Amino acid sequence: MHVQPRIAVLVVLAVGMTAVPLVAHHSVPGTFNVEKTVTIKGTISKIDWINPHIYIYVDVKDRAGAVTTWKIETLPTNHMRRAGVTKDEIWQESRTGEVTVHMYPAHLNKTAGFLLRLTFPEGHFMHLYGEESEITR
Amino acid sequence: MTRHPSRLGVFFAGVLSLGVAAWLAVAVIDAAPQGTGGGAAAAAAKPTPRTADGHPDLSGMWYRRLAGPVTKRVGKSIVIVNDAPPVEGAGNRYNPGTPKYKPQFLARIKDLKDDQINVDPAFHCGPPGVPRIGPPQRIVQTPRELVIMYDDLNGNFFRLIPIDGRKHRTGIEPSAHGDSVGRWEGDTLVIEVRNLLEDTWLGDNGLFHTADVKVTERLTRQGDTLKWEAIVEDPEVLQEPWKVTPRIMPLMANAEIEEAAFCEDRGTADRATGDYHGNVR
Repeated sequence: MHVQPRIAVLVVLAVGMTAVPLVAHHSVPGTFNVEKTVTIKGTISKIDWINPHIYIYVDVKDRAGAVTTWKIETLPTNHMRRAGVTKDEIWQESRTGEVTVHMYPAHLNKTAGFLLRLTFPEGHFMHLYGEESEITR
Repeated sequence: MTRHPSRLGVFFAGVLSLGVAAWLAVAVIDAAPQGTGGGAAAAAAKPTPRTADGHPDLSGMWYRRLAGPVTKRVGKSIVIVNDAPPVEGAGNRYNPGTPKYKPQFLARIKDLKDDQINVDPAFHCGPPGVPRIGPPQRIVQTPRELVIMYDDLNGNFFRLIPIDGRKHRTGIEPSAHGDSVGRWEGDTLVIEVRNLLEDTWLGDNGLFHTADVKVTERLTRQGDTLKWEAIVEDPEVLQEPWKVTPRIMPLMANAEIEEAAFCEDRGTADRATGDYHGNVR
C-alpha cells in the first residue's frame, strides 16, 4: 500500500511525538549534532543487525558518479524487535530504488549520522527517532 | 530541543484511581507494552498468582524498558515513539540514581567517566553486572530456584538463584553477575548477591566498585506487575548504601525473550568517529 506524503505527515502529527533521548552514557548529543538534520538520498548497500546498535550503510552518488558510503546508526536490535521492525523488511522495502535518510550528523565523521527517518522509494517511511519538526526544519 | 510530557496527567489519574498511589511514590512505573492494555495500574489490580507452596509466582516476561518503543503503524509507514509516560520526580526517563562515593574516590570516578569510551567494560560488549543489568526480564520460578534471563544489548545473560534455603557457594570464582541466594520475606523475594567481579561497574559514568560489594535485590509481585528494588553496599568506597531507583514493570502478554543479536565491539577508534552507545537497560 502506498502512503501519500500528506497522510504520512499526519501520522507523525497524530501520534504527537514527544520523544525523549534514550538513556545514554555516551549520549546522542555527545556524538551527533542534534540541532541539525542532514538529508541524503542513496541506496542501502548493507545492514549490520548487531548490538549494541544497528548500522545501515547508504551509498550516495554525487554528480560525477562517485559513490560515498554513509554509515547510519539506529536503535538497538531489541527495540526494533519489539517494534516489529526486521532487517529483512528494511532490506526488501529498499530494493526498488533510493531511500531518503533524515539524520543527526555525527560531530566527527562527515559521513555518519543517527537515523531519524528512513523513507523508502515508494514513499512510506520508518520514523525511528526524534520529532517530526526535526524532519522539516 | 523542547520535550513535552504530554501524557502525565492522564497517566497519573488512572493510576491513582486504582489505589496504587503508594507504589507511585517510590518507584518508576514503566511504560506498558503495546497490547497489554490499561498500563501498570490496571495490571497491579489483578490477583497475584501463587505457586503451590503459597509464595507469589514471579514467573513471566516483564517489560523493563522505560523508553519505548511504542509503535504506530499506518499502512506501511511506521513511527516509533520513545516516550514512556513521564513520572513525576523521575523525569521522563529512567535514572537509576548515583551512589555517594567517599571524597577520595571522586577523582578516580572522574577519570573513569572521562575515559569511559575506552575503559567501560560494558561499552565493549562485556557483561553489565549487578545492578547495572537492571531489573529481571524473564523469570522462571520453581520451588528450588528462580531463573532470571536477560536479553541485554551485550548478549543473553542468566542468573540461577536458589530459593530453597541453600547458602552462598564457597570456593567459586567471582563472576559478573555474582552468586545469588533468595529468601522470602512475606510476599517479597529478597536476593543477596555476592562474589561480584570487580571489573564490572555499578552503572554508567565510571561507577566502579570493590570485590567486596554486596547487592540486595527485592522482588515484589502485585497482580501483573513486578517491583524491583536494589541496594548496593560497598563501605570501602561508598559513604552510604546506594538505593537504586526502583522499577515497577507490567507483565508482557504474548511476548517471550529472544536470543540477543551479536554484540560487536568495534573498537574505540571507530566509536570516536561517530558511534553512539546508549544504555537502554
